[in-house]
Amino acid sequence: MKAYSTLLSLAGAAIFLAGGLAYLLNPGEMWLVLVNVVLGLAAIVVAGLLNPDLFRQYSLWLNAVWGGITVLAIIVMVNFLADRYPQRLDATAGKLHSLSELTVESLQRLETEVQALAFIENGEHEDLESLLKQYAVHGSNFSFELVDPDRDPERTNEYGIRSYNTLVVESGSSQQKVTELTEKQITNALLKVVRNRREVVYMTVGHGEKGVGSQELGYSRFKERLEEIDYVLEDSLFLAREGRVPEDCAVVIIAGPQSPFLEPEVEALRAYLSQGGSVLVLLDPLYEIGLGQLFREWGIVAGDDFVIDTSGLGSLMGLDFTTPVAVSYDKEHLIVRKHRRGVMSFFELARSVHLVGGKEGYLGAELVMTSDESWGETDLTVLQANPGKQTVKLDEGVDRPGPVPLAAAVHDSAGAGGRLVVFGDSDFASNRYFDLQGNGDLALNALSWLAEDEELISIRPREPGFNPIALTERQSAWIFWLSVIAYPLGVALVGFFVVSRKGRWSLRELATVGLGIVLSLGVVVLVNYISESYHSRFDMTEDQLYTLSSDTRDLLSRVDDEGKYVSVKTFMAETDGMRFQDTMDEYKSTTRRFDYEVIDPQKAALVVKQYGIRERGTSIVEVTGDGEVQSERFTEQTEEALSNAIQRSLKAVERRIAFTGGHGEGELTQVDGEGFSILNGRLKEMNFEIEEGLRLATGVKPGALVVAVVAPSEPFSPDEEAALRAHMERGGEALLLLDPGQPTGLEALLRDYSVELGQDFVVDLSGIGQLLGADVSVPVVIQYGDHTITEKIASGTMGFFPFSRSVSVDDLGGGMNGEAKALLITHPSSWGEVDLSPLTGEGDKVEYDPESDRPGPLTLAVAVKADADSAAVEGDMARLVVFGDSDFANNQYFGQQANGELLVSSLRWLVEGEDKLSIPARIPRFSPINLVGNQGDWVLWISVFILPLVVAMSGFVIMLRRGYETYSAGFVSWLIYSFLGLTFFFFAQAVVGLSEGSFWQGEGFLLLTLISAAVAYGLFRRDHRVWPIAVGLAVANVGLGFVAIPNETLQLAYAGLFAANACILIWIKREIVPTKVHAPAAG
Amino acid sequence: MIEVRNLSKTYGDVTAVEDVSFIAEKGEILGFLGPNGAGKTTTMRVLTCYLPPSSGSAIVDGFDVVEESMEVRRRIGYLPEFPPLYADMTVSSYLTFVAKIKGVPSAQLKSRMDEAMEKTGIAHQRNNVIGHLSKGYRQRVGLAQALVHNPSVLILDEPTVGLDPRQIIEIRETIKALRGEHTIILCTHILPEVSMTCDKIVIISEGCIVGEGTPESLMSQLKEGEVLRAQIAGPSDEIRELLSGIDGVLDVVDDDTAAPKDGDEQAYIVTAAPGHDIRDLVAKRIVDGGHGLRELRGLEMDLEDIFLQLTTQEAEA
Amino acid sequence: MRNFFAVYTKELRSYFVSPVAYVIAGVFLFLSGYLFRNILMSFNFYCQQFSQRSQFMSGAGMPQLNLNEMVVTQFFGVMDFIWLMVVPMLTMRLFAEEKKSGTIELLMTSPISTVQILMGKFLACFTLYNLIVALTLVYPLILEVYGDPDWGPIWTAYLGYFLLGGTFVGVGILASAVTENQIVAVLLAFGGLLLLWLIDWSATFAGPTAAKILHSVSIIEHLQGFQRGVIDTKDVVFYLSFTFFTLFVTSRVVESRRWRR
Repeated sequence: MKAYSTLLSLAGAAIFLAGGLAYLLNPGEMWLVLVNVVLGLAAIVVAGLLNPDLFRQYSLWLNAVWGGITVLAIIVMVNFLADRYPQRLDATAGKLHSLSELTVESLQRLETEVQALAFIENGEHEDLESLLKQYAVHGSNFSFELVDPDRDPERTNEYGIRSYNTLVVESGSSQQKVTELTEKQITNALLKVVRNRREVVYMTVGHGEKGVGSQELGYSRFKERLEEIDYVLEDSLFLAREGRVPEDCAVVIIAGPQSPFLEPEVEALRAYLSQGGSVLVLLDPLYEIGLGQLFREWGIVAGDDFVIDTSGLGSLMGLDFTTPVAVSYDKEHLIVRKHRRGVMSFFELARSVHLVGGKEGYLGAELVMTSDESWGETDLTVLQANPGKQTVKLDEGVDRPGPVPLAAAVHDSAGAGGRLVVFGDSDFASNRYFDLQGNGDLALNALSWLAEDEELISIRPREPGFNPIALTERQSAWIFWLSVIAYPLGVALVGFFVVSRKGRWSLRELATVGLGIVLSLGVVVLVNYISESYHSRFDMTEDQLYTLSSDTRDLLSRVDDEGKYVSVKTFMAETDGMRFQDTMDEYKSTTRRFDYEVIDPQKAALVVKQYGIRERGTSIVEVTGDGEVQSERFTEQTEEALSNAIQRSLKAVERRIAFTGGHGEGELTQVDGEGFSILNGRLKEMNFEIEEGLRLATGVKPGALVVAVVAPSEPFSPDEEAALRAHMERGGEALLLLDPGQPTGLEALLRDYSVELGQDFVVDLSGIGQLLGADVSVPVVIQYGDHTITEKIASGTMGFFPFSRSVSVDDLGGGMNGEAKALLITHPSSWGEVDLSPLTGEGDKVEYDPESDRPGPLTLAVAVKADADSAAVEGDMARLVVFGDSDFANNQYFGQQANGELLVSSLRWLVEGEDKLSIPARIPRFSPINLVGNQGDWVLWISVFILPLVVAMSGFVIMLRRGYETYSAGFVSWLIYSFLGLTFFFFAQAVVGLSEGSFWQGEGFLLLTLISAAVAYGLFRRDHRVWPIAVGLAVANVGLGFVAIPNETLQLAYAGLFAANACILIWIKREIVPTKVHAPAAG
Repeated sequence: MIEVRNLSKTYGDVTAVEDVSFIAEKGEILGFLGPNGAGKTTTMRVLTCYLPPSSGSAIVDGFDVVEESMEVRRRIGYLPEFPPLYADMTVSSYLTFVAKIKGVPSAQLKSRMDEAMEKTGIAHQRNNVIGHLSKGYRQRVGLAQALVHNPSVLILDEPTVGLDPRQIIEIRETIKALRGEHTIILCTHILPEVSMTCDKIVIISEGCIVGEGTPESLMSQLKEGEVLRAQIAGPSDEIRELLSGIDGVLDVVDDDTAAPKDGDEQAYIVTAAPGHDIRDLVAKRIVDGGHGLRELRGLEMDLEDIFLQLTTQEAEA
Repeated sequence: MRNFFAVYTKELRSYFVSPVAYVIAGVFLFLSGYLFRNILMSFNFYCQQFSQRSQFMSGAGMPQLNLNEMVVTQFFGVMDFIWLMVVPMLTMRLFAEEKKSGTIELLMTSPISTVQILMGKFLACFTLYNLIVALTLVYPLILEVYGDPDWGPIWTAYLGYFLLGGTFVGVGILASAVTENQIVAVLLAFGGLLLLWLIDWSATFAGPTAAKILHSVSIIEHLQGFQRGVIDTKDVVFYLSFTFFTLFVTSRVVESRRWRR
């Protein structure tokens, strides 16, 4: 009987506890809780009567339990308090949560009353409130209020608030709305509200300057930051045309000019400066821009050098010695006064700028100095030298030793107050470097000083801590050797020493083992080395994804036969263009005379400069053989482009181009806007041998030659036309850039090749060019013909053709076979104006008269490929490209969007001849998957459940078959645990039931809890009487599972589990119920 | 059959066995006697080609242990100190495996296995998992694996260690039954085992052979008068003083095994250095001292004493 | 030859008798099944999403909805790391348990050469490895039912795993031969394989020649060819030579046990 008393007391305690917990969960249901509490206490009392010394046992239990409860209580309380009164410690380095200098200063200077209204969801926003509190602390006349839009609708409508979390900063009449609730945005709004004036800043164009585009070296970041403080940046000041600086201009910026300013332009700048204007000039090494005289008047000299910095500071950012890093700044000058000692500014390829003292009354200062280990390298040939050789050294006397000044500022305090700032580099304010440490502030402060807006000069609020980990090469190599080699080796040696000292290995034995291992390693390395060079590849994919085309393989075998060596440099980051790298791996494994290298433009500025790489993804192929190097350039990353480039280099036929002379054609060496020096540079890159001043009259020499006619002002004589015709019939090539105006004398020849030269000039009313300052006289093309020349130009890129005539083509007549296609198609709203008077300046009005003018859309350029009957080589065709304009290729327009690209690909088409490889790009075929409905579940069940279980179970069965009798004991303990788990599960259900007041669910589950606890105890005791109850409970539970558990997959698992338990119970029946019944062991 | 000539073995700077030589005739059971760590196991390992000797040589059944180790291994059955058993295999599969790797032709596999199980009396356990067998049966399976390929030489290293008396007797009976069919080397440090089963004994201590021969020859070799038992009446300290003063006496001990005599009679065990016959000296000294000499006789030394004697003697020299 | 076969069958049977093989196979299949399902489902979701979008988006550059590229290569890419964790557990008992239970003496004193013992054990574990790999064939079969994969790369990937398995088991058996304690054996094997797996990661920082060497040593670098569908003899030679090296060193280590107590 004693045993049962303990069981009874336990049951009573369980019932009492269930009632207590139910009360805690839901104090509402009193009567059910009372029932259970009373029942529980009654059970305990009865148990106490049955077995008096029960309570002694209890007291032991109680003080153990009691300790647990107190600890629990303490923990709960501590958490409660921590949650209620949180303290925030701002340990971040940049003091992100305290205000920056700019904000504090602007708040202190506030004269007018400023109020900030924050419309916040249900009026609570801790971070914003603490931020605005800090604003109020610093700004005496700054006040703020948090408004809950739902509770204060009329004020919300008054300010036109449409969304939560909007802040309105208001002072007097003007107000600013801020949605992004950060300190930067709020301060900007504050400044705008107080200063409310707008300034316009002009950037000059026409000398290859950088614009506000978003590419790496553009100034879009600079423009954004200026717009935040109400400065509008326009990059459209063409001084040559306007003649003087516009009235509303606050500052003129000249950003990285590449060609010299014309006399009138320099005069305009000098006048503007003398009347108190401000000019910011950002120069680059190498380019002569014709402002030297103006600078000298203002006491500034720009050195004809480029600064080398060997301090290694640049390497922190992955930049090499061609990017000087400035660390010391002028102490007093307003622009750089706030730049603290440690802040760095980066100037990629900069020249020195010194102060030499100009007229009196001109106050000047050198703003930025590089470190001592740098100097101004006067030997500029390094920048143009062929890429391989890089000898840069400080030669005394010639180069300027460090520290080298990179910027200077002069203020005409005596006169009208003009200001001039000259920087030795234009890249430091471009998008790539703007956000790096001091660069951005330097540019913005310089501009603010020039616009006499000193109060804006400060250090802007910091973005979250910009502190990159940057190890110089030496440090990273040292860390590599220490952590990867030395340290583990040391540990291994210690271990080895301990082992051998214990005498188990004598040195001789170790030596023999060691020798054996080293020898075998040698054999393995040798075998691998051999297999590395003589190996073959088998592409098993169905679509032959990884096999090079037969053309490429023949090409590569030609490379082998001719003993040439191909090396490819691709300018892109290692991670992108993986498929192209795979393709090049294929090239590499096909022949040993091919190698490629991926160069990250970010890291190798000098190489990028030397190769004149303009955009990411460009690749340079260099084929070296018998002493000379042929290089080709291509941008598409495909096998076709690469193979063609290699083939072109292999052909190495001397590509010659002859420019006709004697008819007022354009000058190749002329460097100003009208000149064609940039075209000249690109021709050299394409390995053209250039001839100038060809007199057609003397006839054209045979051989692969492109005759180029660029902007002739006088017409050609008939015998010159005949010479050109003969050249064409020999299968020669010609490139004609003919401006509108007068007939050219080549009309007959062109008509034979079915090309009609329009005697007109094209007017374009479409307004597409308006954004970039192109008026009606500059037709803008965005639609291109279907031809290999224009296939690579992305749709939507613009082509500018100032003062162009129409050039049309109809299909080839007169028995010639070949093809003639239009390349450039203008907008329908354009037309060919026959009345040429506006061109010569008399008439100014232009409008369309139906009879004479030709309606749009018109074609401005054509490409013709036709039979050459007297061609030297069978099947060689004559090729002809005619453009109705020549200005599109001069220095001013060459760099604009599609212009340069068009000319280069026309040249390439003219020269490529017939054997151009066409290799279809191989893309894996389209094989999608479409699993609908329960197919997905099938996959789940098969791969994740059924297969693994089948494998694991098969092992289990095999083990059982071997008759491990210990397993049945294992099973019994498994059963005990599962029934114990069941007890807790039922108990939880009971408490929930009680708290919800449902008698049946509460009491019912309580009863089940007691039963399963008894079963678990009985099993533990191996009490055979418990067996039938256990089986019954297990079977009942299978059904109960579907009731008690909401989620149906879990239901399935739960029911399965207890079905298995029932079977196990039956299986190990003799373990619990011995065949011969004997008295059960009393409790 | 087995010939070992000045064999020595060193591990690094530790010499386990030094200049050991002995011969075992065909069909003979040789007892290899020595305290733990005396180099028994190392010698056995050299004989079974498990370890190469540092110097010296050993010939088994005419084959040199180093040159023709494969031949030697075919002819040796080896039961090491801990029986090499795979706990997860059944007895029959284990013995089949051992028979195969010992080179028993597949035709005779079945018969050889049954025979080995018969000899070691484990036939009824053939399908049981070795892991579940008792220690005694495991030892028997170990023995069976040494016999399964009917080797001409059988080397048993401490075969009865860790068994209860009943199992020890069974194993000894089994080993005795094998006499004549194989040349057996029995390594042990349990002396009764050797005296009962072995034809010849080799005693090894700290890596060297300190005694060799049949149990009887060993005993006679060391018998004369080293140890005397004297019964003397008189004050015990004085007598002890007197006895230890005699030239050649190593130590004097009370012999409390004898039944207590009346009065002050006391029995003493006198040990003398080997080769010294001190009986008449003792008698003369006691009588001169005026004490009553009741009894004086030499003690018969059994193997245990011989063994202790030899090994301790080693310590003094 | 018979001796080798005896050790091989004994070792293989002991794998299939003890729970180790089943538990490992079960866990491995669960993991790879789970991975396979998720990769497949995400690709399925991507395809469905794409098919809706493409109604109105006029084929702006066909994204490669290629079953092999997106599912097979990815799945096999992850599998080799799981193997790296599983194989050491299979190989840990090969020699370590023999030394602990003293049965090494039985083997070393029987007329059977060390190489035969070694090859018997190696091939037993290798066969078990390949059996488990064969079980994963179910996944490509599922793909075959619901889509049409290109079986070329699938077979080359399995060939890659066959060769990789040799190297993994080789390193595992070496680790097992070096120590008596099985835990140390697992750790050694796992550490060694992980090092060989990650060794080419530091190549990006090392100089060009060091990078080339590191890349050629890394066991994963050579697998990429197989996973893409290209069999390159230099990769095959790499794995075979690597396995030979590990087995040779293991035989030397086992042999050297004779010189120690």
